[in-house]
Amino acid sequence: MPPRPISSSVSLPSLDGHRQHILAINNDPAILALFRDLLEEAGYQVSLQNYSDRELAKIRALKPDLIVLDYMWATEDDSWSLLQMLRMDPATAAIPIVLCTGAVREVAALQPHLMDMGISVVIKPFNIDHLVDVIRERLAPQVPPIVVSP
Amino acid sequence: MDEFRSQAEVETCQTHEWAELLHELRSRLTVVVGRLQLLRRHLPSDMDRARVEGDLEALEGAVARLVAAVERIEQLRPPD
Repeated sequence: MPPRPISSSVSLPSLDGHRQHILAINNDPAILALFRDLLEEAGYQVSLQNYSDRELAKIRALKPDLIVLDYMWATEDDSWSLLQMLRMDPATAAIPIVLCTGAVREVAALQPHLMDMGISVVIKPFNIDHLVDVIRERLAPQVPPIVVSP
Repeated sequence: MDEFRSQAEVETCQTHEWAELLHELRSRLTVVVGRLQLLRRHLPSDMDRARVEGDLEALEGAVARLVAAVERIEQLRPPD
């Protein structure tokens, strides 16, 4: 699907004139396409990446302002290992992460740990306005992570 | 020991299947809910809005019931 033009009604989120850059990582093309369309419409520059291509060097090179990461605890260890690598690497440790997940039970159990890691959680399925609100809050300076209920 | 391991493996497999099933349901619903919201935003002004609004409301109502059904399934999921 080709990139769509950004709506003229969009208010760009950056205060210094540059469009903030969001990297969405997922293994589902339909979810990635949804992230691209809704986040571009919200005024962000969007990059998409599959879990199979999870080299930290590529993420470092992209220099995203925020990462939206899909997460499925039980069988998708890739997401957990990537999350830990992102937090351990000095080049990516400070990048805000928003975890989009359907793993409700696992998130509830690990909520304090995730908050310690500075990770916000949005439960799928989500209202797209909710997701954009969480992203805007995380991109604002010095805002603690939040957990959004479905 | 083998029986114990076998039972543990079965339980692990069931836990993974529940998680995968719920992940799949929630992921498909994410696409449907998100696309419906984007579609509603992008309705052109020169169309039969009443007709399309009616279709969208019907779809949104059905999706809301599906979301509620997934939440019920989540509650029925056995303990890990």
